[in-house]
Amino acid sequence: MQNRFSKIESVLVADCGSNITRVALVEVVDQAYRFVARGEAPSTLEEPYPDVTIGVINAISAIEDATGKHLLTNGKLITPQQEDGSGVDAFVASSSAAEPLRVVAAGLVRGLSGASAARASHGTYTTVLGTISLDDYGDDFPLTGEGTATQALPDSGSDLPDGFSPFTSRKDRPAIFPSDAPIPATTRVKKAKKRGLTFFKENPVRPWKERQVAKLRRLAPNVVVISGGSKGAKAESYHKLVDVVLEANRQERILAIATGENRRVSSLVFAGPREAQAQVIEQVAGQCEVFPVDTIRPTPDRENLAPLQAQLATIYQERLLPTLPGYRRLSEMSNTLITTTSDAVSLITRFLAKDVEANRVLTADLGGSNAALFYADAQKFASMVRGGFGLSFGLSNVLAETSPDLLRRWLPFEINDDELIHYALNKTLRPQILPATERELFIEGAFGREALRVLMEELDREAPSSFDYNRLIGVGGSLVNVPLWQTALLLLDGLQPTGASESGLVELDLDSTMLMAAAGSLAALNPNAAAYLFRYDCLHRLGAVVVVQGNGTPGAAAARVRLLKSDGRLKEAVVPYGSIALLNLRADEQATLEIQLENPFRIGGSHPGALVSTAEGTYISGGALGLIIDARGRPINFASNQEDRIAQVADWYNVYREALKQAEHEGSEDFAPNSGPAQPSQPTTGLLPSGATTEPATLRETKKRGFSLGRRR
Amino acid sequence: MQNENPPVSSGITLGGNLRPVAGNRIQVAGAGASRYLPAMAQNLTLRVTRRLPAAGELLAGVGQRVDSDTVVARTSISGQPSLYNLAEYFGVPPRDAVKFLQKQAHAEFNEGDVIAGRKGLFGRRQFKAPFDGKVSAIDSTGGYISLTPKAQPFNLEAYVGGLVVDSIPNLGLSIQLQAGYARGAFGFGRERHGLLRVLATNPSDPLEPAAIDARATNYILLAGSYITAEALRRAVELKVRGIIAGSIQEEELTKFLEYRQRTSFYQVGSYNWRFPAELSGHDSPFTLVITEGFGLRPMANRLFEMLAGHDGEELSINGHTQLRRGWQRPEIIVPVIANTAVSRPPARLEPVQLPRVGSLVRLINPTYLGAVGHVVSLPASKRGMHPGQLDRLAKVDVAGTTLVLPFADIEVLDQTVTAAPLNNNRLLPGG
Repeated sequence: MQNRFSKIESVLVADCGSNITRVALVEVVDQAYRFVARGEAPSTLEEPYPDVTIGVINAISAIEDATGKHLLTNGKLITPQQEDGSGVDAFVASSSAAEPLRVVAAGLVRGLSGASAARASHGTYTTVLGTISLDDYGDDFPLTGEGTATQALPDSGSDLPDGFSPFTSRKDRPAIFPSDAPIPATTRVKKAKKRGLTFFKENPVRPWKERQVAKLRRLAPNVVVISGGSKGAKAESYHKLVDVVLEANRQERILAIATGENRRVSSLVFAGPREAQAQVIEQVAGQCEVFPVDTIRPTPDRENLAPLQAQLATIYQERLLPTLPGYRRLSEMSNTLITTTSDAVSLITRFLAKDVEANRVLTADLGGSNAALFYADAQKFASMVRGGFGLSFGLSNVLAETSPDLLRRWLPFEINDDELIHYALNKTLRPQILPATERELFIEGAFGREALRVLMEELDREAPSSFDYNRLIGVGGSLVNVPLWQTALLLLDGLQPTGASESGLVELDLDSTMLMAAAGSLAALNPNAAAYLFRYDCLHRLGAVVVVQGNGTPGAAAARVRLLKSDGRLKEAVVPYGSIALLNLRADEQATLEIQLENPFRIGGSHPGALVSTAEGTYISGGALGLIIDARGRPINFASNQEDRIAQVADWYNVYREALKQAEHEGSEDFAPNSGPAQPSQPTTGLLPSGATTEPATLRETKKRGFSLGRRR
Repeated sequence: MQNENPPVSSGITLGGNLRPVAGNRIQVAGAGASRYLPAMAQNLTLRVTRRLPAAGELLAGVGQRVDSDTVVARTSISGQPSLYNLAEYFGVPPRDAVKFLQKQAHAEFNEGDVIAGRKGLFGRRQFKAPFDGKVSAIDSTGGYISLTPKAQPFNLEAYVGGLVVDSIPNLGLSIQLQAGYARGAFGFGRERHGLLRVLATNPSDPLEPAAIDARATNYILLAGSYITAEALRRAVELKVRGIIAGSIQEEELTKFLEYRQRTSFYQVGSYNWRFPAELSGHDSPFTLVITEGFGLRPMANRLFEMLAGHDGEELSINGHTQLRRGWQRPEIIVPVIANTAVSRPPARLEPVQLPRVGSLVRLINPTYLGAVGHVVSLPASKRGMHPGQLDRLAKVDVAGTTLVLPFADIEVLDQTVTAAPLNNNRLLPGG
């Protein structure tokens, strides 16, 4: 059947990051869409090249160099593909380089609706600047003049109180940077009254509305999200919140007239109960943009974040993405709407969860200036996307949310606070630098672990119960450009998976070809091509992880493992508590596994001290690293004294080296790096048993005690 | 006393409102706009564009020679308006509040003039002007009035001495000069010029607070390696005009800037990408340029030598730092006086400053920050696990030790050896 996709024989898929632009060439090879080559170039977003397409063209010419295929003529893409094979049929692009959407969450009660709105806002590249709520104090602001005006709203454009300067005399300096943590209105007002400050005195306590307007104007968001509880919330409460937004916008508009400048006014997204929507629209009466969406709290115990997230994603796509330098030229090149990288990755995560039965996927995307977690199973989807939070431009923001002590615990050497802080700051100043020494690689890894930990905590806070996933996918340069064992450890340490509840097992995959975003943006053009690309070329299977939970004495045996490979070879290991074991097992090998747990250790939902094994007729397979037995307990416990902790962490890092040494000693070739994605030269008709699409380990009760892990034969 | 420019806000303000970027822009003359400036060059033909924040009058013409303190253009700029809520002041509905106005829109007033007044049952209530200015906007639906302080004269200085080669009618002009140029890692403070006083004998000497004495007043000081909070405070007291140092510790910077929360200066990106992120709205009395970064690091020795060679001469510096969205780094411009220029011919600039065998490079990765070395060879192999990844490597000799570093971790300071350039015709961003 002819359709509009049928003619697409070759596609270039670009992903413009804040640091690096990557372009992948996808062509039909043996009747299937396969990845052929990739080019990278530094992103061009700033003077003297404020045009993202220059970086794209540079990356395309890198592909030309690598493949010899003629793609450009006079710096322009040849399209469609010519008779002589030059050019491509289509071009699609995604980007994560635009500014994050600045959101203020507003709700009736700070802890409830405000918090839900803040969480919902993490579906796309957003920065949640703060919350306003009926029980929040807001901002005070100093008066100008000598009390001639009761309503003085100084607009210095600065966040600082008048008269502050680190350079002036240190006496009588006002406190700077009021903490953004809201203070309950009542306590502060009471305090002020106690001090005798009343309306008629020099420093009157301003009414709630004025303080909120001052706060909102200081935060200057793109969007204010007003969310509300289930029905029954008083309509006048929403009225008050909407009023704050309208008042702040009004003040900005007057100042825009006064200065002749463009000033930012906030749009309003209303995610309160349906009954209140009409009233809000009536109140706004065209004074600002308002987007009503379904309430995020239909009942007090249920959250419904999807409609709000979709609305924010649309606003981002329409308002923020076009601010990307060179956006128009990029749109002209592209055959589809330009997507955000987070949308592309989340699409693939959801695809993967729906494509394979019982797949529950967590994707961790660790980039330079953005980081994200996406969870998807057959019914549910949750995401946590953080703008300005990553391992290059965003590194100082990661530092701000963790501490040197938390970072240090991951490092197998002594290091002082200054070195850690200075590392992050210097990298923020020069985000393009790459770790050049092992020490730098370790330090960067520690930051990566902490970034993932912070994200996971935020994602967990959203969920009624913790996420039970059986497949973990690593995405992003920070995970790909380090040795495989370090990647695996980074994911295990940062996210501390507990293993699927039914099997205690997590399958570890890495998007080593960095094609996940490409596959996601290709889906808009040709879903078929995206599915093929993802299936065959995207994921690199690192291995399977068995998580042994429970606490014991460090060094005491936690599990005795027997791994019987299908060729009859047997591997046995005793895994002490607090350590990791790595058993070599290739992705294409099948084996049965039997683990005798010691008391009180358990795997998944097993009883402590049970015997756990792959059920009859099921098998387990490994990956580039093999089978990882993580017996460090959850959460991971560190030795209290520094020397022991360093030895402990060094042991974890050395596991791979030791395993490799042992394999060499035994003359085994099981650590063949050949377990990655199938190469394009391989025959591609029919489905290959690639890690991405085979069924995950399934649970089946066996006659044996305990339960089983493994995959159906 | 020199008439210094009032600070001009440029880029995006903290409140997130967009204002046009004003100020200077530095390019390599004749190269067009599309050329990256090198991290450092001893002798370049630079073209510095000076722009007024608002249309005004040019005081220098094409062909005229200007000094760094010559006022080349002037205009007047209005202050930031203040909003007042009349409705609340008089206790009436917003619609009625405007009836009490005694000044109309755009009317000018002096301090103490009655802007609005109301005769009531209990006497008279008046709203008096808190300053000289004009009524910039009236909002009848909200009952607001916006008052803008009187416009202040603004003089635009040349910033660098040179020849005016181009002008933009009513807005600005371009000045061309021969100069050494260097880019810093970060800093703060506006553009300033002054005479250089070298306070270090080698690039690893820190700047001791005691070394800053009365002779430093109005000078730009050159330190070797790091600087402390105490030295910075002393610089404020002694009215130092600028400081160029290799590095600073985070603790010392936060101590000097007196952050209550240490993290607030590096939480970048939520409003803008300025660095330090939260700086006082007030202008700093001196300009700081840190050339390498954070830590206790020496200044790259070639840079130190270049600057130290200009002891007592005038130079221009700007500390403004923005990491993204209007990328800007601190800059140092050292005019080259004719007789010293002879020893070193003007640098020929290639499109990209890529390292070659023999290039003098500065190491910018955290471990070796501040070190300078020569490229010994460029290994053919690429690092990376997958095809297409372009981490090219360079073998660099640093004082007898050979290090293998990715291109991203080095910055070319000088292309001394005329080896054949690498086969690369792409536009790779440097810095």
